[in-house]
Amino acid sequence: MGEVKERILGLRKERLERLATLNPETKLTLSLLRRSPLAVIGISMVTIFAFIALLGPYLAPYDPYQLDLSVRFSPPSAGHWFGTDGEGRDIFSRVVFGSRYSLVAGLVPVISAVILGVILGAIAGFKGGKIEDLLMRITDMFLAFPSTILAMAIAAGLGPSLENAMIAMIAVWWPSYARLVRGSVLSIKETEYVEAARATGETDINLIFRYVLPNALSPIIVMATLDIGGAILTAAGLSFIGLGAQPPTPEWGAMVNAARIYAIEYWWLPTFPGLAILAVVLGFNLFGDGLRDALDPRLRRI
Amino acid sequence: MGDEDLLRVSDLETHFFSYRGVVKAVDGVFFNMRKGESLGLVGETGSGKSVTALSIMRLIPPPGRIVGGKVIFQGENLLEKPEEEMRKIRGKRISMIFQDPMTSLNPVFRVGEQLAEVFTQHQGLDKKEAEKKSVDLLKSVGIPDPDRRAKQFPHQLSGGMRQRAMIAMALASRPDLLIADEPTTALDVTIQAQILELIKELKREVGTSMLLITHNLGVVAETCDRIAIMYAGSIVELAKSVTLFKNPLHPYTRGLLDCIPRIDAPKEKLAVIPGLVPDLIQPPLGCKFHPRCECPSDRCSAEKPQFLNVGDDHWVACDRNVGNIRNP
Amino acid sequence: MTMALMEIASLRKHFPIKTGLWGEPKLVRAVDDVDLTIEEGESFGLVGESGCGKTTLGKLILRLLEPTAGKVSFDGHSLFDLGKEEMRRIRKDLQIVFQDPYSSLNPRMTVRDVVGRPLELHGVVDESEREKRTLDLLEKVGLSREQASRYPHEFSGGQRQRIAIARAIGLNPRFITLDEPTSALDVSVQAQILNLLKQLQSDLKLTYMLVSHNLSVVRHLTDHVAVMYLGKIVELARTPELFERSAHPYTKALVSAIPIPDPETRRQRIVLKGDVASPIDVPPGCRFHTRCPYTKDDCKSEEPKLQEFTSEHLVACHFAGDFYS
Repeated sequence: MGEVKERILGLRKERLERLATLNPETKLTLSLLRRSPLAVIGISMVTIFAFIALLGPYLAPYDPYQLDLSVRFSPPSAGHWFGTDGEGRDIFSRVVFGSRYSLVAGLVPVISAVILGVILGAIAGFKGGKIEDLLMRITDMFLAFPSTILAMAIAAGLGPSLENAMIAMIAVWWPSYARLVRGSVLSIKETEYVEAARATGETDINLIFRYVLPNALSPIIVMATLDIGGAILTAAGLSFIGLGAQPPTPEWGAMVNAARIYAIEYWWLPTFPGLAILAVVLGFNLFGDGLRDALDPRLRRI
Repeated sequence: MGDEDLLRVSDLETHFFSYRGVVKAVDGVFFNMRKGESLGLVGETGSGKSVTALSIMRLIPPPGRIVGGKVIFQGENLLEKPEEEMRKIRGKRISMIFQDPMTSLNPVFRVGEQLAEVFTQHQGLDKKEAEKKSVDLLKSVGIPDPDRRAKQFPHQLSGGMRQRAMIAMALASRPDLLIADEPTTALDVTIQAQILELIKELKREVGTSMLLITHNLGVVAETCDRIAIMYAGSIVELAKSVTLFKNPLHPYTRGLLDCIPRIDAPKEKLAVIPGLVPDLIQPPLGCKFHPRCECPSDRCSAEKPQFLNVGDDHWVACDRNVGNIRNP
Repeated sequence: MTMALMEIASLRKHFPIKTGLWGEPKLVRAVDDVDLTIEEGESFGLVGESGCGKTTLGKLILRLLEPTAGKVSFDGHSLFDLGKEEMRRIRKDLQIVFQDPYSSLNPRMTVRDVVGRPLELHGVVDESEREKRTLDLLEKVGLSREQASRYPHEFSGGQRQRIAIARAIGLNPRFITLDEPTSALDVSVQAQILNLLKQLQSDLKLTYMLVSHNLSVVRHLTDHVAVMYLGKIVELARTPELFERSAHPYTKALVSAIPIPDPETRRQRIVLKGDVASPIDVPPGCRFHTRCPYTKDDCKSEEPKLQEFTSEHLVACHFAGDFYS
């Protein structure tokens, strides 16, 4: 009996170790990712971005809000790598700080949309019948609107701010996940291991959370990763048209918007924030593509 | 013996270069086939039988590659031929049929059309003649109402009929060698019986040489003149059909025969070959079967056994049968 | 007379399917009025080709599907009348082993969880007790205790099937449906699994329903066999009797179709014409008449009943006496 107790303690430790050492399937995914140059570039870019976002305050040489009218509109120089804007603020510091807003604007809406979409999609797929029909019709309603317009409408309705822009994005994004999850749930529901679990009397809750959802994760992860780039872009876009973050917030989209009228004379004003958007979104897209290829069972041949 | 051989495979080696290592799917295979005979290639999963067939056809997809050996077909080494020439051989002089006829027939073209292609491409007939010949061919493989069937799509035919259509396509160009990879495995038992009878009948009438790949010893007993047993990438025993079943020499062959449940001879407990099929990336040293063998000697774990003729065209790769060598 | 463990009466399962936008809905008559009894401790085989309904029947009697009509009585309980909670409790006695070892185990659960979860569901809440029983079960099916922490994809097909068997016997069930348990396995592995199943049956006093298209396996493992064709049982007898002295033409054709691993066997094979019929378009009269080599007029109009032919041997054929060898 004591031997068995020891075993259990050893098991818990083993379980943690296992999570750390990863099962061979994850190893295969990682090795495939490692071998695709584009995916590697994407991951590097994303990592750098995350790094900058997290360490922002320590990397920025200046306070992004600090005005210094004596150096307004200065081109890039040794003292100001990206130059200064109309109020003399250091653009480099503002770009660095802007990454934090972009990180939040990218992650929060996507994670929230995923959670909302997964819950609704799982219920729809699992329960079927009238509940499924109702949920899917609601999903269709949301999907019927062009996403950008819908986001704009919601953001405009709630009032321009980055938070409201994020809410708008969640509202626009969740239906795709709901649909995706419902499809996965429908097919996994019919697999033999789910049937066997039912034959042993497994509870419905557990069937969803331990049997169906974990096996439906791959397409969701891929979609979410690709969507993070899209979310960052959309947030910047909403800010660009004045519906998202408002000046003087150093959000990239807002920065480009404010720089519009000066773009020809002072090229560095919109260029650096714009390049930042480009780089980050590209990084996530490459990463997402690489991940999708690595997870695609048909492409994973030895 | 040598010159009359239709096909002679010597020391064929096909490896797959995977991220985990090199999978030696075919690791030194030797066999020959004469004109008009049917040879059964029998093995379980991982034995390398399908890979051998695909190697003969030079249809190995990357990351696989034929890394050694010779495949002499009608006097020429197929492994040295340029792809251009191989394309002319495939479908004309060597034909292949597969296990799942649904995936080997193009679902968006009618059956008759696909069949006619063989005639227009390889025999230069015009469309009308080719179509007529297709219908005749469907009839010859026992498909009732061939005119109507020729105009249908593959999914409208049953599994058995699709397989017949495949056989028809394969035989349309009167190939010298027909390779059949598990042609009846996916079929119901009574349909399998129909196809086996068809194959036997065609063998009698047309006289095509056939290489039949399967894991089912009953099927080869019924249709093949000679049988080769494969294990972990090499042939372990090759003999005339009657000889193999009457006097199996290799322990694996004996194990296989003993572990099959029989309709005609029910047993209380099935004999079992202990252990599992070996890892083809790091196979056991010496004889690959020795860890599972009932009677290994010390040599078995050190040296790879030679594939030797023990008399009457009975070949075995097992050191313990060295004593059975008689003058051929 | 003691009650049989499993009594199936007039069981029917029809699946409606749509045939295009304007077509009238058709019925797949998968299981069509089947009567059957299985005694405790016996091994019952259900054979047939695709579309005969054997898999559907195997699932119906476990209530993994709801019937269109009919009754299944397990140990006196009428299964389809039980409430959710009662059914859940009875499930411990009714288990299943599936055909495909590659899809019958949850890829995200360790072996320990796969085998242990049913125990947890049915009252073994104490983790150490569960652990002990799980490891014992693994050993019983021929796996090693150390393998409990691994995931299914780290095992071969035969080993996965052993895990599935361990899961099935964990609850000490009385009845197990074996749905093509070895069809996806190599011949040498099949032998190991069949021996294991036989041994477990005698050790644990199990009752088996073996659903299979592989007649050699059925011959090896069962006491009684029923042959199904298009949703109905056409012959039912003790196993040796069915194989050696069958009375229905379909059974005879099935048995003669099997290739025997002996090149010198001389045997008359009965080759059926046509294809396996579809349970959507069931022929009138005797369902088998379209393929039967001995069809007579009566066969096309009157459906033969499954009746007692000789002791413990039922046949559904108007001319059964002519074919009894």
